Amino acid sequence: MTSKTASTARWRTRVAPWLFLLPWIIGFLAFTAIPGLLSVGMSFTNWNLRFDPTFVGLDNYTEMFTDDYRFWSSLRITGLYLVLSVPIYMVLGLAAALLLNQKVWGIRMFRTILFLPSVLSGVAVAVLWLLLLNGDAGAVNSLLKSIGIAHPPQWFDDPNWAVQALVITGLWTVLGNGAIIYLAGLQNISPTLYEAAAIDGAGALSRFRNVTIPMLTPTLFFMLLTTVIGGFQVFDTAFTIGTGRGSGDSLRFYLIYVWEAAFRDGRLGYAAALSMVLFIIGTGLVLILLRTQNRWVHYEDGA
Amino acid sequence: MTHTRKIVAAAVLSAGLLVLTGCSPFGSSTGSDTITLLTLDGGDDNLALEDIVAAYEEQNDGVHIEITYVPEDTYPTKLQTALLADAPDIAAPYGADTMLSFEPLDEVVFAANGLKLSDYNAVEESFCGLNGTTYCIGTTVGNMGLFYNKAMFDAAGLDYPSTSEAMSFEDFAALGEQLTIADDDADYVWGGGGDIVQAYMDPAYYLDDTGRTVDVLNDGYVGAIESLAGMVADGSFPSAGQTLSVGGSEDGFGYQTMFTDKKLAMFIGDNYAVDAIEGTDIDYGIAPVPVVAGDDAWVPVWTNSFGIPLTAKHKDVAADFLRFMATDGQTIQAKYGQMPLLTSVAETWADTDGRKQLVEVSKLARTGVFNPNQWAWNAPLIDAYKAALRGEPVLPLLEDAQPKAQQANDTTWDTFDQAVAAAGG
Repeated sequence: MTSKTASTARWRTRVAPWLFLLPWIIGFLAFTAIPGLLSVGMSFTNWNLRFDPTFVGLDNYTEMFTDDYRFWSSLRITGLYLVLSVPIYMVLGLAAALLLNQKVWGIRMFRTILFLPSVLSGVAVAVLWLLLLNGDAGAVNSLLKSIGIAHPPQWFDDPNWAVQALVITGLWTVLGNGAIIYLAGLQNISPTLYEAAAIDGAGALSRFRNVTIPMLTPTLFFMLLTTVIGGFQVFDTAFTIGTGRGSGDSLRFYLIYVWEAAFRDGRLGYAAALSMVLFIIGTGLVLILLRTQNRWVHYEDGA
Repeated sequence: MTHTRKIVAAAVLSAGLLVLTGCSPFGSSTGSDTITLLTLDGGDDNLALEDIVAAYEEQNDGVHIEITYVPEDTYPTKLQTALLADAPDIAAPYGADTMLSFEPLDEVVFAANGLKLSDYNAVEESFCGLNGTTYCIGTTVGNMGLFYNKAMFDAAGLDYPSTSEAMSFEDFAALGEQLTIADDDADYVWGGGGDIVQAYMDPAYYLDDTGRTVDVLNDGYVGAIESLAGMVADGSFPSAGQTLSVGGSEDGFGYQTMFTDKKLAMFIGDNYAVDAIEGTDIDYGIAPVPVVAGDDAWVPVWTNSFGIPLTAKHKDVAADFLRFMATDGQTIQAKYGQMPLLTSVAETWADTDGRKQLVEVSKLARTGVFNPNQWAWNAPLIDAYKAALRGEPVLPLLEDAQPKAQQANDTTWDTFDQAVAAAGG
């Protein structure tokens, strides 16, 4: 091989990966990195499509923290949703996966049935659950009344119950998706571990606690991260149910408020500042979770 | 054709265009004859607009109007970006602050064609006017009214409500109680129901004269909500869940469905209900919505709106189309469900007793306290209203809601003031 040919081959080896990565890099720069950096700059302006932007320093942030009840209210609503939805979705998703992991007749059909809602549009799901959770004539309250609960919640019509109602609505769609991921994790656990535990005299509960849970922690960690991120991204169902003329504050999630500030009120600078705060909160939470994984996530390769 | 003839023809055409340009109120010529029109997607209302456009195109050879419909939730942004980039020739202003990005129409559409604002419903002035200048023209009038079932009034031995004078909230509650038939679930008939109170109450009861200060802790506002909440408690006004159960929301549609199903004797809603009601065998009437006792009638009105952006390229043709819309277009609109804006045409449109009453009620519309966009800040008041209807005490709810609403209203005004300042106002 001549030195020129060798040099060309080395150049190709070096450049080829970047060429393959180029479409992603262009997309990342165009749609994530550059807009993200511009948003940081925008958050220090009063930019509104109706007039030219002017630099306002920290005014947007000051207003947010001291003079905007909608910021605190949307943060509280999003936080409440996270606190309620993350444990419920994780525990019930795992429970569903354990059931779907049984070797019984027709199990594939059950898996399909459970997974189906996760491919439905958020708007359709919202409309369906709006009817099911109707305070006076919905199926859920009819059921609750039939078992002796005389005054069941008014769900979406009561600000004190609206977020809980949305957690239930979300559960129906995320359960199947989560269960399938847990199921993949469960089926990835080597049967030999269960056999060894059984030989050592471990019962079903002990096997679940000492084999299933530790071996499933990478999947649990993945689900925890994605559920938390999903909690910050609630938009379509809440938007369908809780916005528009005649709606109050009860389902103004953080992202909905960002959308309202930007696209209803035209306050792009303020919306960018709101986004920055969400970015900081979300990143902080994810970093904390990543830092804790060494203590409880067990990777088979010892990573 | 010889070269000489071609040159002469081109010169004549050019001279003609120059003359037209010289006559133009905007002093600019049109480039091509495709006029762009950006508007909200109005569902069935689009048919009337398309018919008006087709009629105009037929009268004006070579002119083509290209309509772009945009859903309402994305319209404000689409409009703003369109105004900044490639402005449409005609567009629907959205909110008072966007009006300032449009040409005044008082001269180029109204005075230049001998049209008088007073010939149109008051909504033209209240909805399209800002500081005495008119920025848009519509084809329809939307208004709130009290729809009632005459047979149910007859059965209860009650007089029909007046078309020219509004009843008080207390009278509405009393009527509702008398009209209610508290039977078993299947045969229950509620006496009255209606849209959220913010949709039809005179803003003077929740804003001061400037529109900048929210004041809901007054007897009129508190009393109105207490009357309506009392109706729900008495079982003469369906609860939110009961209206939702018929497929509607609390913004009026549920009540309309209950009314057409004869489960509701009267309801406060908008005139889009007329078509649905006339599709049934119900003999109905329309009265002004309830007001605080002793007040004159207050009829909330709105219109679809069309204006000429300041940066439009074909302002002359756009102005001529708006002239057509304000005249012949009104007659075309009359063939469709919604009431036309031009009062004389609205009267011919009203070919049923109910429609005649609707026209009478709409004439009671008047201008009130100005606010850039109450729907951007009134969520706390809506929450308070709904909680009151669920039975919570009214005053503490409003005491909690008022500062929040004030904060949000301040933000709405800030944005509006900045837009006005940017427009040199």
